[in-house]
Amino acid sequence: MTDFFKFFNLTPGPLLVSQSNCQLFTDKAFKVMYHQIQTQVHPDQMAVSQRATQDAGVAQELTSAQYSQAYQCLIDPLSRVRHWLELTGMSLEGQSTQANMELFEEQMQAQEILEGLKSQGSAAAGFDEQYWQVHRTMKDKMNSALQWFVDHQTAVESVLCQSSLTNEQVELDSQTVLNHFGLLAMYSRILNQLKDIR
Amino acid sequence: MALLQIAEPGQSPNPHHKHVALGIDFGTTHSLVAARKSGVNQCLTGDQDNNSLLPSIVAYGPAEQIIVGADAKSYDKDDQWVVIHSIKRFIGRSSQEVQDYCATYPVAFTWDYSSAELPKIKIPGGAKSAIDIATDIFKTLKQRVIQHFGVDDINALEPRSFPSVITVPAYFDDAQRQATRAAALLAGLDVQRLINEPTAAALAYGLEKQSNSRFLIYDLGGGTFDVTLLEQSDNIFEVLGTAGNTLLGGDDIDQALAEHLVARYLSSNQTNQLTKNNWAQLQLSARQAKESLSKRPKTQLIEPLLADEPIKITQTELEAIFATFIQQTQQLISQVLRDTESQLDEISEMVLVGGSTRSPILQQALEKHYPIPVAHQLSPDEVVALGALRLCRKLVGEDAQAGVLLDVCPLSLGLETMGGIVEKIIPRNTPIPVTKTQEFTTFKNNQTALLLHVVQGERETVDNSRSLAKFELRGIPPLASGVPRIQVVFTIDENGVLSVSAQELSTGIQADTQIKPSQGLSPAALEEMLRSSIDHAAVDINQRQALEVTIEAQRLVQACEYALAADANLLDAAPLKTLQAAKTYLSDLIEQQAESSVLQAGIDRLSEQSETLAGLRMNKAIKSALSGQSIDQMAEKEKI
Repeated sequence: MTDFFKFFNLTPGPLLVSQSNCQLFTDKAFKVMYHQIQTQVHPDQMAVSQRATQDAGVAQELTSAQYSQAYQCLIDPLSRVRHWLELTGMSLEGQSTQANMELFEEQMQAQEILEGLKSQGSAAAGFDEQYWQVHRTMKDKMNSALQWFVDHQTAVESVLCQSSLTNEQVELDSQTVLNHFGLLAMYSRILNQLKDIR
Repeated sequence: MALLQIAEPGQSPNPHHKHVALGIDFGTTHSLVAARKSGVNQCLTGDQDNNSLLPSIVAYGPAEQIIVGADAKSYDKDDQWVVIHSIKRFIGRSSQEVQDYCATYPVAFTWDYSSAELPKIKIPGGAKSAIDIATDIFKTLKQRVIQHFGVDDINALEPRSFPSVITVPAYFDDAQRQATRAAALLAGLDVQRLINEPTAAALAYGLEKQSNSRFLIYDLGGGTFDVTLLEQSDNIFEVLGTAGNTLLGGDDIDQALAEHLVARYLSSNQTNQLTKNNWAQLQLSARQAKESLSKRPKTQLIEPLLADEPIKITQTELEAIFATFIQQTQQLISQVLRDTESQLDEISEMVLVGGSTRSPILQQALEKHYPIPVAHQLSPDEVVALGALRLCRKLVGEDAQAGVLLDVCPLSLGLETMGGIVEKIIPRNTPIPVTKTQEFTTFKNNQTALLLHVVQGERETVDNSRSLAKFELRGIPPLASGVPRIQVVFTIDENGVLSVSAQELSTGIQADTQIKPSQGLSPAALEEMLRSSIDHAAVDINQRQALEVTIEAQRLVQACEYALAADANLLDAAPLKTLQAAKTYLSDLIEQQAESSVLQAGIDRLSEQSETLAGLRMNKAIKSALSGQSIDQMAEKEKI
């Protein structure tokens, strides 16, 4: 599995942290870094510097599309956490979160709000204000779901790596990780559904 | 040629290069071509009128004359000639789409929808497709370039080439892009890239600016509206998001004004008698009125169709008509802001593009709604062509300073899955180039082939999306449904061209398709390819419904056989016989390819007959709260 964090010299984890000096990148700073890389590797740039590159005998190791793919994966909190968990050795394929009444109610509630917005349609008066309010609420909730992973980063990694634990313990803890991932995924999904409202 | 080289020392890396880089804006109402001349990027003017705008009007005469531009207008009223305005609205459109469009907006020419070919417009002594007509416009633009740069020396080793970047509305779908590219190729232009008009505008403005900033590009042309949010930092242009409507533009405002006037001055009886030509005439008058109202608060319109006396029109009347259009554009702005999670106060400047943004009514309305400074430095008509030229010069290696462009795909791309539902693979506003992979599986036991249907659009069902291509993956090993793993890869390159491949992972068998008319294809091959991509759009709904019913029938028969093989002993002889009869009847119907209504009746009959068995099996198997399930659901359960 390709480690996208490596493309940008980042430490795998729920946040964007530099491998060399532990500096935390904001989304904006990460984008600036990505743009700087793209000025080097973008195919359009090659048309001009082709000759120079050939002379120096430098082979392009990673393509613009690969950087773009890695950037898209890491800039989004959900796909970043998924990528990190998978790198750490957790299989998320076909897994499901445990039934949880609280989570279920939360989802029903969000669904209701979405339906309400949808039935109005985006042309309705005051739609934008309501939209942004819902958006802010859901974004905050997603961020706190992300914060759990930040707070438990070392614990999560040790749970997923350590083979010395008994099977039962691992099961138990990886289910907790999975549940929190489910929470993050839920808010991310709601935010996406929100965007699709026309 | 010699003089030109002296005028531009060091401007070209190789002075003997026989190419002229071009930026071309193919517009609904006007088209432009930009090139670098005397050390300046500029839009080239026509030899007669000294105007860089070439009206996108083509007139075809009785003696095979072809006249493009302002002169073509003068044949509007000549019955011997066919004059075509706004051909861009029809490029890359299927017969059905053209028919739908013409039902709402009358045109002064006649379409021929016969056979499976692209729809064609009847002209004296023949017929031409939208691509052919666009080609005539591109040829005229190319002629302009030749006038400015001189004709080639016949003895030259290579003929002069015209590397070009052509702009298209951001919201053009793949078929429209391909048709535009094909038209330019047929005109002998060497198409380097298609870029989105708003992005081109931003590139043109990028000349002067070096700060990190976000721009909102508001592009209202004759026939299309696009809004794009774009970020510039360190010589990188990143398109954050785009939205638009390919059927919203200045022409629509003309049409609305014409309708307004007709409603006011004509009785409904008179209105019904208006011919297509009358409507086209009214629309032209409305445009003239609109243009003069941009400068004066009141105008007079002499329109003999409506009244003998001149009609007075005021700006207030026009404002009311503009309001609905401006509102539509505002909704699209809100959508882009939502898509990109941006707030208005993050935007440093709004760039107006397209002739329709000249209107003071529009400008005032925008100023009122959005507290963003508006960029005025470049002509809204020329800015797109100039931006395209910058990119073209960069691509051929003449302009290293030009920024790198990180564009997005404007419409979601996906695959059709069971039941005509679209599974989005690349969501809209994904940066390109991009590669995305998704795994699919079969829905039937022992299924050995899979038809992949690639669609474009935001809707959830295939019916409402644009079909781009279909291809088949054959040779899947016969396995239970859900077992084969089929990996589908979508790739969009920096030109926005999509290719799709599918691979069955256990055997490695592969199939792929590229939705792309490549260079060097013959005109016939180009057309054939385009036609097939457009024709897919018109897949008959009945046909697909029939297909779905057949699939359902096959599944039911299969499930029934499975249940009978396992538990036939649960039934008494009589019901068993009825059930088997119903099953045989249905499988015979499938064999005979019966009509879908007959098939459906067979399905209903078998479902009914199988209920008893399903009930008995349920009791036998679990005796729990699984009541009400039909037999095929049971079979599904057991497979898992």
